[in-house]
Amino acid sequence: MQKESKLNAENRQKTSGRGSNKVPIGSADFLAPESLEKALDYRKRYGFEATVIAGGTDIMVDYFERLYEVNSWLDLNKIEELKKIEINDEEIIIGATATHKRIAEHPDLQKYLPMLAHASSEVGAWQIQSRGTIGGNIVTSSPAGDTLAPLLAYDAKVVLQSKGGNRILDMSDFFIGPKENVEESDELLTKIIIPKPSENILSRWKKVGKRKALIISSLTMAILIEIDNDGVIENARACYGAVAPTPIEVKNVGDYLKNQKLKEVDAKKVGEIAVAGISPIDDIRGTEQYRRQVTHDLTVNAIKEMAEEI
Amino acid sequence: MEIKFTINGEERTEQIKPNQRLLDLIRKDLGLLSAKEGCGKGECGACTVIMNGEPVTSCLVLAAQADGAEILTVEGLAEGDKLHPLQEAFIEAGAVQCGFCIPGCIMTAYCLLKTNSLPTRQEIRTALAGNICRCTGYQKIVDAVQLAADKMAAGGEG
Amino acid sequence: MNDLKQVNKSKKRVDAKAKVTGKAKFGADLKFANMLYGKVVRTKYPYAKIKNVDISKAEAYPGVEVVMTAKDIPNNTFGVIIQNQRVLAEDEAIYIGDGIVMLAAESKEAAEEAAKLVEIEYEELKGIHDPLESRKPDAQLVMEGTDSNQVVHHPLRKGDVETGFAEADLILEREYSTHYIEHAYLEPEAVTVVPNERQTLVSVYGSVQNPYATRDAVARVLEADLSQVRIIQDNMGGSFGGKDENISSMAARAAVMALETDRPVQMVNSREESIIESYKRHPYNLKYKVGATKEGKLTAMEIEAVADSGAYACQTPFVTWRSVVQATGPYEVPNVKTDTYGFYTNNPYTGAMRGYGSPPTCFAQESLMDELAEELGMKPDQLREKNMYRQGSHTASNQKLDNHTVSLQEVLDKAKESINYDKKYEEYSKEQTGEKKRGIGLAISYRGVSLGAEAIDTTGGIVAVQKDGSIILYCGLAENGQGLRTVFSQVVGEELGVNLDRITYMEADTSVAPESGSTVASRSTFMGGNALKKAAKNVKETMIEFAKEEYGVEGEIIFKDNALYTDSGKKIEDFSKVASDAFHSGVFLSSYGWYKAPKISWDEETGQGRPYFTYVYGCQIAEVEVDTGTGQVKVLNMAAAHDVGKAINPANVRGQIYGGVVMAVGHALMEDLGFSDGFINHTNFDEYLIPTAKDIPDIDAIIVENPDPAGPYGAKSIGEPTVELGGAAINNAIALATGERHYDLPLNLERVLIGRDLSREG
Repeated sequence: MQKESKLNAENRQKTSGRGSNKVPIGSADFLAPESLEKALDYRKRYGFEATVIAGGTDIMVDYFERLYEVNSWLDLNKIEELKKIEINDEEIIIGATATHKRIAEHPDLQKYLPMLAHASSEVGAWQIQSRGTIGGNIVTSSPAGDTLAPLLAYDAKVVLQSKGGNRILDMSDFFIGPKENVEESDELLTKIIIPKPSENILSRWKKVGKRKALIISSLTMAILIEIDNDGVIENARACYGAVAPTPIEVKNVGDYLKNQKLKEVDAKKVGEIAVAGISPIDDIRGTEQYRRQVTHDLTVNAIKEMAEEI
Repeated sequence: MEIKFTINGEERTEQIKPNQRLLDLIRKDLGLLSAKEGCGKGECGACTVIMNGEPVTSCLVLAAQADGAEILTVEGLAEGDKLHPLQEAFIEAGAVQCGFCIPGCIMTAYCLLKTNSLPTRQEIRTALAGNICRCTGYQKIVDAVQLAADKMAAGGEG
Repeated sequence: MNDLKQVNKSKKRVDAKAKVTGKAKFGADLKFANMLYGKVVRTKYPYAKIKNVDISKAEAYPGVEVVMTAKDIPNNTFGVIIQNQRVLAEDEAIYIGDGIVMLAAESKEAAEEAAKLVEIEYEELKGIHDPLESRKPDAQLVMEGTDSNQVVHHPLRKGDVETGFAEADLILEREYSTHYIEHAYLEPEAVTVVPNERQTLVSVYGSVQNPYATRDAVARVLEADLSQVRIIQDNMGGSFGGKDENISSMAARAAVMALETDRPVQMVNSREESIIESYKRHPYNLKYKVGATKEGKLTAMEIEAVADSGAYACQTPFVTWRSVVQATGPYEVPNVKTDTYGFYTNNPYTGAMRGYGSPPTCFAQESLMDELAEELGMKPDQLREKNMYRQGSHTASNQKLDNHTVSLQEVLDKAKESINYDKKYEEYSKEQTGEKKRGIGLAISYRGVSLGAEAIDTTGGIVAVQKDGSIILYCGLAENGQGLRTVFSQVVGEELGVNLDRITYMEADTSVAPESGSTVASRSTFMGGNALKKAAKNVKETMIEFAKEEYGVEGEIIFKDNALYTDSGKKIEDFSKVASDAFHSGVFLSSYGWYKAPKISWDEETGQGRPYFTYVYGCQIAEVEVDTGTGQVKVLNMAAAHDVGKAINPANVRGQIYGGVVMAVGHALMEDLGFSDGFINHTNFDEYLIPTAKDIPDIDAIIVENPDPAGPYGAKSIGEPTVELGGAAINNAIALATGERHYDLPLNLERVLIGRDLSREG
């Protein structure tokens, strides 16, 4: 006989979504407000009882073969103001239901936020980019979410709106664990605010996955470095996905790089600091050892390449 | 609940359930069988239809979200007996093997050629990355999309 | 023959229009009046005693018509070779896909809900999940009524390996492993069974690769005559060897429920049900020992290949037989000792998949040849040229290759030239700096055409000329997507001088077409082509006889351009007019054609004889770029040269090559079932990864033609040889790029970066 630990129901063959004995509900509500105000009313009234849906590319997968469990849907697609992308002198404001496709192809975002545009163009494939939204990617809060490391690197803030008012949070304060965040039951994530990057910015985005499309990342990296005219680093942020319970910035990398001349940076040392700052686990997309080694190598290469770029 | 939408040029009003998928509406209620279910999770692209000008995996869209939408399936491409240049090109290039993924591939390619009338082979491969095919190795599908682009450029279609 | 009109032309596929317009109906698209929806409840554990099954709640669920267990099945076992696969498990479940209860309801939703209400009490047992464990003499037995877990053992003995190794200057011993592969046909299995229809007990519609095998299984389970079971196969969304036993099981289940309720029952698998229940490609553990002189002449090879059969015998006896024939690769080796085995385990059962028993041995043996070349300081192609089969060579089975053209040199040369092998090999052999390193690697193979000594090898076809001159073809071989409707239409069109738009190849219907064997082993063009060609020739002779008498013509009559001509080129009549006149004169214009494959022989004890009546030859070369920072392998280029005898439809042949190469790239680099202790962790396409259009480059497909005397117009095979070479070619390319050799598949990110797949401790 095998050890008892293996002989439990947890070990049964997993199939997505199955195993619930909930009886199907004949009719659910489908709420599709046309204004944000109305949506916030619903949110207050229904709370977590209503499942918020925008593009649906995550939530429909979560509810694969058990859609009947959803009592009420709150669909955000008819709210025009949530789709807006605005750029002013200081900030770039992206509505929560802007799709990956629009972000990837937006000329200003390609110019100012190339890592985000690039990451958006690598989410799933076209069909997913058509529907999937940046807000959805954030709210799903997967440690591997493709747009999240770039958003952290760009120092993005998220706006959580409710009938009671607004909360503006740093992205890094939004995530609290794998697929967990601080959004309250009466709140909706409505927009993402990103300080407009200065002219002297270098950045590197990299997604590692087991194939080139339709793939959940094994690891993502977004490094942003701001330099002055002498090539001295004024500010740096090294952010990673799928190497910790949430997407993270390794602050020690930024601290280490600050005030150094980019050309003189010890890239290997940066790689070591990056690895020391992550806490990866083994899962089907990669093992801990793999993630540590790749975090190191990608970081070292990125630093070297950026140094060569100036 | 009731939704109104346009499919293959026809305006429809349908009674649907809020938890029903667009794929089920199209296949079961409307009897348009070209969209296939290959995985149910948006990973194979066999259920691709065009919704408001963009390819979507209809297994990941709620039918209710199609309210007010314009939808196109491969059944809506040909005009009577006259096939769309993409359909002709898929036949001529020998891009079809088992054919299960083909309606989805054609719909994605249709969107591509709307926005990029002369795509490179790499652009075609990127555009079609969401349509998995196990038979063809994709090469003749890429050939077909290029051929269709040429046909449409010559014929002024699209 | 030298003025071919239909054959050797890239004709448009006859089924393409229906498929691009969405009109082609597949299994799950069918609907019948009063139809029920079936569902299976499968085991929770790979190996467990079934202590109690309570179906009362499921039976009471609204809309449920029938709930059944193994006890309700007339005869619960079936199998193509050994009849030990169960329709439903009764006392114990022996792998994770075993079904225990089946039910049918008014709607799919009701069936799904009712399935959740079935209560099964299990006692989970510790199973065997490694064939190397299961082969041990004291191992617990997987299959009731056996005295060991061995499914089969195929020995091959030629010369004396001890003498051979004594003559060697260099001996290499290496171990390799290959992994489970899911067929990943895009269409999940779908079957509808209609009871008491059209004079038969049951009609089975759906995605059936091998209608006769499924008929055998359904008839056996129902204890009915073959004539009472009708299998009708139409469009099928891919199969690759994968819709045989699992479809037989599904059809048998649906048939039992259809008869019980006297209503049609449809069963459609979700992707996850499909991946959990269906059989896979066999994982192999391979040990190779090779000896060579310092000049590079092979002196001996000793091989042991152990295949995991999983819970059932399925096709393991034949799969491992192909392995034993091809295990040395296409090389003259005077002394060979090969043993291939299959063992039962509590793992997913394994069966036919495109390539059958050769992809694992090819991977090992062609990887080994590269390493041997390296050790000898030779170029990989030079070592191969020194040893490979040539005209008149003797194989490991001591078969003399003299009844067809042995074209290894030609396929090798053409593939090399196409990809510029010599220059790239030289360039990539030098020290490479930077993160991204490139390599190029090749592999060659020989492959037996058709079934060989596995089984009786015959095919029948019917050509039926209608009174308007249109033609209907029947054959028991099935269109799985590979294009045989088109190929067969071309063969008949060529014989009768008729264009393809006048020819219809009917769906395979077991009550109409002659039993033709299975659509497997890349045999259809050869076997079905020959059978239909014969039938067409018979009809042609009848028409010639009629025409001579009716129209008073003499001399040779030529059939072309939808008409009959005299040998001086004068048109006699349109084909359709002749058909009409003949019909109205009482002439019978239909014929059967029956083709029996050329003679073969096999000695079970020594593996000597003539295992196949002819062979095909191929060479594939892969050029890759390895990102040494991430382990990502990018395939930059692939060249694939295959001798097909004669390409009946060159466009189709290229399609087969492209598809096979890409499938091999998937097998080599990314496909992984996430298998652990009998469980499958990757049950859908989000985790079981197959290549997308973005993952692969354009491939250079090179058709080599050396017509085979026995083939229709000289044609041989193409489907399977395309998928057996890529794994080794890519492995060899990676080794050249990185300087590190790998012995296990898949070559995923971790294996390439760290040298082992950490997630699997192997």
